[in-house]
Amino acid sequence: MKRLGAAVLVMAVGCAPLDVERRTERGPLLRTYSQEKALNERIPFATTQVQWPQLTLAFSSSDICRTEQHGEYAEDIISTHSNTGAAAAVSTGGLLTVLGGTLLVGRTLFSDTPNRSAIDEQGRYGASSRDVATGWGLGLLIAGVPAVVAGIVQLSRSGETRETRKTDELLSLREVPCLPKPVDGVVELAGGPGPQPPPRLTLNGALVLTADEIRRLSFVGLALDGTPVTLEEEDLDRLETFRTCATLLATPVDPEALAGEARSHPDRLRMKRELARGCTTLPGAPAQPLLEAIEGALGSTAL
Amino acid sequence: MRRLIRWWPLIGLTACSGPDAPDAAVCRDVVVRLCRSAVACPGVAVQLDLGLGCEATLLQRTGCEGDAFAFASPSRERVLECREPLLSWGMSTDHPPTCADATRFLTECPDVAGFFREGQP
Repeated sequence: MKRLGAAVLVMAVGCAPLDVERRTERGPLLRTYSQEKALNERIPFATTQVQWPQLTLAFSSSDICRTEQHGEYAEDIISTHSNTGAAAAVSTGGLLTVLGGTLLVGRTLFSDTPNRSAIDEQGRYGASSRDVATGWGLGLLIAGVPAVVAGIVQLSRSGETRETRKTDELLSLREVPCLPKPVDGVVELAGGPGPQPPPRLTLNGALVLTADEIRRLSFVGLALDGTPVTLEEEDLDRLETFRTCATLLATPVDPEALAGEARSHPDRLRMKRELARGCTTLPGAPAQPLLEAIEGALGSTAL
Repeated sequence: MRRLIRWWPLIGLTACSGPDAPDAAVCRDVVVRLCRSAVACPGVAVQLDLGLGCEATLLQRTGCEGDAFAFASPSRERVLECREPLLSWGMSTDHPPTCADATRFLTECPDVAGFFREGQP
């Protein structure tokens, strides 16, 4: 009997869907974890090493390793069920039910005499007032009761439900060269304004260039067997410093010329002093005499 | 009939009818409707061969002024069938049928029209 009642209720409210509004709220951070994987995309890299007057370019083929930092959060999905018509259905249905019930209960108060003022197509008198009241009462109950039941069920189903689940978010992504392997090949020094230098062969994964060679050569980039070689920022800086110092330290130190330059172009000499200081960072570079001479020239001018 | 269909929801709710009306009541209902239309439609009065007192004439002619009256020829069913055009304005006799409906009654049901023109054989 209960099942029958439930089935009737389900049928009564089957055509009355609830409005559902969903929103998501982020909860606390549960944990963080890292994921590492190699992309299997090997590309040539080069590192630089200086032992004045030589610059060694060490070539390697490295994979790209991607390191992903993930955060795992708790997330609440909040569903708000509502139906704006539920209250209206209850009130309208209740009114119809009361009216219909009143007509049915009070039907005996109406006359049972047929309506003799009219004869229908079948030759029958019109229905009595009691029959009309019974018909209207039943009709109003049939319309009103399901509306009341549907409204009550919808009101009872209205409310909030909360569902918690885990969610994953990528916090950071870093791709670095990894798993290096020394590699030999033909090195092209390309991109300079002058004629392209002849290609050179590496030996044991390395190419050694002297300060004199670097000074003569003009190149911007490197290619190994036709593939552009990537240098990290630190190695690029070291290469450029070596190239600058190869020119700067090639000229013999002339204190008199420096003193003259200190008088005529003091700013240019100060810039040269900064470059000479940079040369002192290169292992074995004889930059100290030049630096001291520039300091002396600038010092005497200041006096 | 079309006007009846328009009111079907109300009719559906009050569909329950009362008992069968006696033949005399059915006959008097037709007489009232015919006499109401005869006032507005001269052709109807002519076809029914009416004098001054329409209802009195027809009631006397048909014999249905007495409660014991019963249809013989035409039968009750035939009269009810032919009466349908006269119900175009509804069951109530307050509004007379149109001239077209009354003419239809007379032309489509010559046996029933003859009953009201000449009385029960």
